[in-house]
Amino acid sequence: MSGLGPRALAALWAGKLTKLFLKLLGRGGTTLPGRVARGVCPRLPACLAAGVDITAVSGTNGKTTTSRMIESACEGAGIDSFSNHSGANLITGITTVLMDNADWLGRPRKTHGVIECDELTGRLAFPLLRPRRIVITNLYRDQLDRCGEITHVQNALRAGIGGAPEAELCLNADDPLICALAGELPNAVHWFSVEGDFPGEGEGPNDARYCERCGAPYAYERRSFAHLGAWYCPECGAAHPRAELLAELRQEGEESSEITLRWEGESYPLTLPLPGSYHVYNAAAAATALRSLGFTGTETAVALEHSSAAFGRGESFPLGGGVQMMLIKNPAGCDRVLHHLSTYTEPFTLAVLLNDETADGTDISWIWDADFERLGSLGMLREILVGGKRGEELLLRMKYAGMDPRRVRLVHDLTELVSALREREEKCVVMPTYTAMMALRPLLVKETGGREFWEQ
Amino acid sequence: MELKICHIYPDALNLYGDRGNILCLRRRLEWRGVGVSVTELPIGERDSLGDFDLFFLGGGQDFEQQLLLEDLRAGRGESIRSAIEDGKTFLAICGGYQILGRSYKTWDGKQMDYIGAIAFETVGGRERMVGNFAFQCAEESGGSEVVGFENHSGRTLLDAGVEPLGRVLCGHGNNGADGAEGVRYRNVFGTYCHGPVLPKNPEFCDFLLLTALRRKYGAAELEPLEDREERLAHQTEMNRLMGSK
Repeated sequence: MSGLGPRALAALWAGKLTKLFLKLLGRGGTTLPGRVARGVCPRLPACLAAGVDITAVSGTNGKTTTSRMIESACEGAGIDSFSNHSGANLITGITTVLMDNADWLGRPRKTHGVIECDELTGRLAFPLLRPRRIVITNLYRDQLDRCGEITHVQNALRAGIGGAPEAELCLNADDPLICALAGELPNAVHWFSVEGDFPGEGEGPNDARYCERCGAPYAYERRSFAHLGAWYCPECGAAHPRAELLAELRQEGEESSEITLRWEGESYPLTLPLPGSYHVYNAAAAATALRSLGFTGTETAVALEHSSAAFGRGESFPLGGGVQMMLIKNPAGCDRVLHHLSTYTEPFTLAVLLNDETADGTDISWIWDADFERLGSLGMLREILVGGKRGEELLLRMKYAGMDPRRVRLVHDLTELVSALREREEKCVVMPTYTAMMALRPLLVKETGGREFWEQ
Repeated sequence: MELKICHIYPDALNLYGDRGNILCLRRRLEWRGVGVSVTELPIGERDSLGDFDLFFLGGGQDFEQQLLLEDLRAGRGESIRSAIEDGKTFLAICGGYQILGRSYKTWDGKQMDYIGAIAFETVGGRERMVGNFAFQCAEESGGSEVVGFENHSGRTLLDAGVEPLGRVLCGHGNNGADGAEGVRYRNVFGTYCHGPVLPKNPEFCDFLLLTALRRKYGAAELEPLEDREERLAHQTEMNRLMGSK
């Protein structure tokens, strides 16, 4: 593509110069350049996205991991691709990454983009980006203070998809909230589904109890966890759509899961090298998108076997006895991480960090819906450290979860936490909320010589 | 002694943290050797409310609220009204608080009739009132300071003569205008306070428990608990909030 209009070109230059300036200051600059550019020309993302094959990834949990799976598969297959892997998934961050991919005349450098997109930003971003495919992982209650109720998120996504009628949709058939939003859309849909014995099957917060068509309670032929599974409505007959791609969880281990992908009558067994069985849903979402990108079954399986953790999502750091960071942001995701801890066969320490900035959600009450009571049954768990801006609330949560107060310690800042991690001989799992993760990660990177997230 | 707790509509009125309130009521009785049972009454359940001592109504989503209104009209509303008039203790939060009033008018003029157990009404606003907030309970509601989180667009206006639960120290409360927060009517405690409200406001929780115990047994006392973590969480948040005011 060539021929950006004068206004779009001015916006692009303003954004690129901002980025250069931030680089001189030694900063990452993942959102500010986009904000500056959109101030000059709000439609700049549309101009820069034209001619690029874009896969947009949205949903409540698993966006970053799914995007990373798709992008690394593209890289492995020699497809020239870029992504907003910093997790800057609002329109400003998306605009920034599109500008990074453009030369000074606005011509795209790489042909394929994998764009993680916040659920509410879909309304604005999809019509601008006109993605070739849109992946939606799942919908949970998340950040009620910002997102409001789930119906609000559904409406935002539906409106966004309405502005991209040619996009192929890769959707989670196991999530009745996604099926309800896809009902009236003209787009082609590729459904994916997951089977297997998940730890705590059918447990956990249920964000979709009643049929959105008729109000009767949903029933399940099988249930993975939370409200995900082979659902149906016994009253009106609404049901789980038939999936093109099925991912089966065969076994969950401490560092990886054994899974099988099935499509078109073929089976592809593989080891998914990410900690946490819930990643099988992300693998299914990514596989469906890769299929639409033209990957064969074998190519998809090989690509997924080479997945690596996205920053803060199961990422490991060689500090002390080993630190593993598992981002938490809502009860459903937190419960999945807590279930994963039961696969550990060696003693470990747990650190939970709770902040209440806008990006974390200012309402912290969700920690009372997460099943921290499970910690009592983990034989390998030694000490529990709690911290973050609302560490005192976590301390109280642990008391009500029945933890022995002598095993729970409040750490007052991240320096104290990092010292504690350094001294450990056993593994330590850190469960931070978003801004706690973003603050802790550079400290761990500095200690262990890794790379900043914007350099990945 | 024993308290029978009833969680009304746990399937529809279950926004963030409500489980924490039930957990807190339960534990603070257990820690003192007082018997406790918790019964959930989902939509469609027609059990009588007569056996219970303490009722909990949480906040809900709009979609589920519709199902709930039908259920209230099918008889549950009437049974809640008589339990209230019978002096039973209620903790009602946000959406659960609003449905005890006469009605809710959306900002564009649609009106939903609620159960009218207490003389107040709620009018929807365009701006949500969201954030950490604090209030001080009136003397007859224990007088303690309560800190938590509010998230509502409805503005609740109490009729003249109806007492609020307390006065806002920081934040919006019922409507952001008159300084009132919540409602106190007979043994009903209505509030916009999420958080969940009870764990880090142990004095308020104990006042509810005592109200229910005294209604049932005439006289009752609760032995004090250490409350180290409770007080730390309460005081830290209170300081942070009042310091930033």
